[in-house]
Amino acid sequence: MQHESFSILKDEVATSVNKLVNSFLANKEYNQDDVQNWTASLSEDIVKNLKGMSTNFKFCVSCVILQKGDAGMHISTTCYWDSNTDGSVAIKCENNSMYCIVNIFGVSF
Amino acid sequence: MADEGQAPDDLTFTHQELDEKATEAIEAVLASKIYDEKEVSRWINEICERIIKSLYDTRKPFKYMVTCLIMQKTEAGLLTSGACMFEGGTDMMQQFLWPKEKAKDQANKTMHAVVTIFCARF
Repeated sequence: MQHESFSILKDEVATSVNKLVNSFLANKEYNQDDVQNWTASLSEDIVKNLKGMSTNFKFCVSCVILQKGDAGMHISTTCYWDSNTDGSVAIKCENNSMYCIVNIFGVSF
Repeated sequence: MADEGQAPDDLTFTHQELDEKATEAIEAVLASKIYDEKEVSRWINEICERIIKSLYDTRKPFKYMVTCLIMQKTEAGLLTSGACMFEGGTDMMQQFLWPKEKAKDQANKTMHAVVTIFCARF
């Protein structure tokens, strides 16, 4: 289906991605060997999920997994787009051993 | 029709081009700085804005999304990944890590920066 603006999709995207990420993280412990696969497969799963939501949007998904410890971290995003139709969502989830931050951008074409 | 200010005909960005823009912006803001909790939020905004401005100055018909992450160097592990659904021939998504592995001597010893640039043609 086609959508006029990302703001219509925003809530649906946020709910569905939150659910995906939380179920992905549940019961996982930060492990250096596996994390690389996790970020890649999580990003792909999210993009596949989004593809089903709208046919006239391009999506970019960026996923960061950070081990819980005493490191400080800051993330910022800046975009140059059409603010009437395009938009972004930032999802923050965590479990006992790690934080997961996902940035999703939707650009209409 | 006047040719002044006409956009070049290139349909896409190369990895090299994006790498240069990202490195230039990060070096300009972070070179020889120490991780400082109070300043970091200003740095990340400045890096993003510099990159967007340099992308905009190319005058190509693209929309841009830039993400900048700065993390303090400690023993904690950090992984990032990106996935996109876009137009194969014209759109680009690249992630860049700073300091680069080879530049260990001069590179900043207190923090890592990761920049993600996504370009979508309209």
